[in-house]
Amino acid sequence: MARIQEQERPADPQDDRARFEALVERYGRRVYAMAYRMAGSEADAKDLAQEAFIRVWRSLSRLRPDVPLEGWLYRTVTNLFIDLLRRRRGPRIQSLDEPLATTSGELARERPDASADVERTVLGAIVDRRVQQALMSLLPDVRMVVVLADVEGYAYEEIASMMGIPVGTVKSRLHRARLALRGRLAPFRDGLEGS
Amino acid sequence: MNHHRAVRLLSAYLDAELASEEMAEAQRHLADCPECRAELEGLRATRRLLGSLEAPDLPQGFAADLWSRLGRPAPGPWAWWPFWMPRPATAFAVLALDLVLVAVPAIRGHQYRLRAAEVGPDLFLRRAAQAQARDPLMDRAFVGLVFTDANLRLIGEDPRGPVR
Ligand SMILES: [Zn+2]
Repeated sequence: MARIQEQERPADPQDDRARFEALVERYGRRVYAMAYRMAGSEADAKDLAQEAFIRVWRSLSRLRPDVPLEGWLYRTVTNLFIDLLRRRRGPRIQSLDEPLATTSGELARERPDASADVERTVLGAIVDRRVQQALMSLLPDVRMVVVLADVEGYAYEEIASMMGIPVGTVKSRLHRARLALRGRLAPFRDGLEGS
Repeated sequence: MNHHRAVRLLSAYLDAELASEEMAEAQRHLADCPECRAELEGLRATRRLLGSLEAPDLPQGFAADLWSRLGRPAPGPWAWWPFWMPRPATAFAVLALDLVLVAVPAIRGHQYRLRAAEVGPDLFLRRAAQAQARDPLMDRAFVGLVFTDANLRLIGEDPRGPVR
């Protein structure tokens, strides 16, 4: 019934804007976060996330309000990231020592009141930075799989359809990624073990 | 299942992404192989660490930049509100100001009447004239009009104001 009304109702630009704003509000942070884990820089992540939302805006009239957009958005960001890599011709190998743009400033600004929180946040920011550096040391195709699986929590089947690769490839890439990360992150990982 | 094969399947085992027979075989191998058990724990801890990452905040001005990339001004919080209708905050402020403008003189008048009844009209007027004459923002001509210049002089106040 809702859908019939949807078709009969003439397009209302105010309505579209409000709907779009709500979508940005709802998915923006997660889409940006995923883009950041994949691309490793705030500028690229912002660009990818905004590009994904521009596509949402263009196809707003075709998107059904009752269907969650998450999968669609993630697939879009994934494809945009693949395009970005292609445009830059091949993976950019980043040294582990190279300073990396992180969100630590943002994180520290987030909760300025309690000192215990700040301490935990600073520690979290250091671990975050190390994990992000380790992620950036992986080949982009491998990194995308591990971000989707372990950071975002998607199942193999979903990742396969998002990236357009066989489930077997997801399986082998994820295993390779975890083995590489396990070695690089041993000190932080063991620190986390107790908690 | 031999060790070589089990080692390659540990990630999928951890994610329960193996077929049920393979899951059972891997489980049997793990029971006998301390090396695989240690490997599995390392993978589990790595997965947990990745899962514990917090989503960074959106950069400031993300939505505004997005709107400008779309070639549209960012809608303010009242973009959806019809322009000819008073916005609630404005309407409330106007109503509050009306109430203040009506209520303050009414309450003041009532208080003055109570005090005048208490101390007697002469003394009340005298004090009121003194107080108003000393009010630096009060127009002397107006005070003189209300209390007359003669009365102001009687209570020792100069109707033209204090000498500056
Ligand atoms: Zn084994």
